[in-house]
Amino acid sequence: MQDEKAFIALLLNTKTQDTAFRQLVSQYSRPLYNHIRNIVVDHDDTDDVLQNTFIKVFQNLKNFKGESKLFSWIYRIATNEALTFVSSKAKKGNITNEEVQQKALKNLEADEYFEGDEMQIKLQQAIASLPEKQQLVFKMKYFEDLKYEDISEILGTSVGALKASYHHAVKKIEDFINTH
Amino acid sequence: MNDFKLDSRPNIKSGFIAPDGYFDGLTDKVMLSLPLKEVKVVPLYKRRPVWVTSAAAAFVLSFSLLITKKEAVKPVMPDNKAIEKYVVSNSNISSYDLLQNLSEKDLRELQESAITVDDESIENYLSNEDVHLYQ
Repeated sequence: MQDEKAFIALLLNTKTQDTAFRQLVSQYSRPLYNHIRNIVVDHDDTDDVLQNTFIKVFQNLKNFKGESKLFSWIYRIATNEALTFVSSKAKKGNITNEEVQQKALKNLEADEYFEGDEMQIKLQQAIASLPEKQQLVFKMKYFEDLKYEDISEILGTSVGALKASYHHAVKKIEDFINTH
Repeated sequence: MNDFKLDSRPNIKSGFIAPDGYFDGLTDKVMLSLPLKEVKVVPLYKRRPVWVTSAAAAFVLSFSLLITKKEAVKPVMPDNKAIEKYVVSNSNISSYDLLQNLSEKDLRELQESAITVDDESIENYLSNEDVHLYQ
């Protein structure tokens, strides 16, 4: 925690800000890419959202109060950016968020940045059949292997509710795969 | 019916991959896209010495005075001939109206004035006005 405080101080100091922010970007690029890609599916969209996320993080550093961990705060920004992106894409296409996701999954086999097999495609389809919040919880736990405590800080949901949500998601996914 | 269980096997990967070398250039790309830091701007006018400001003010003032002077052009006054021509061609006032508004003194002054009408002009006027003597 002391290390994090020191790192935040470096981020806020105009003299050390550039170097510290470079370190932040290089540290968070891969996990945030995976997190955003799991939500928006397409690589190019992920690239846009990821860059916007870092810009938002940079712009709001001075407002970071340190009430939550820097990690959770950054993930919260990334999640909001990704969900907002999906919503605005749906609005532009005059379709629902679910339809945006289904459309992206249809293109998955032809996507050069997806190397999944038949089972992985089926799993993605099963996930897409879940409500949005359950999808988010499942992806963060199953694919990203985040702790319930961290997911709780990021999504602002209690650990108990997250566990229940994950349990329901697993059941529904197993049912989907067994029947398709 | 199959009995697929998620927890009974190693986690399935999402299958998403990033292009080769994507993360190598990402940090630089992000750093370039960051909004520029606020730089303290020193207003240029603060650096100017007082004499420069004074000289500029004097120049502007003298220039504006020159323009004002040029714009104040004397009005062109019409001469007597122009007034007479205007009254003859554009006025609806008859000689009777004129008599009503002029005193004896005015008439006497008019008679004594330089405005003289020769016979030829009277003849031209009467022929143009289509006056019939015996109507």
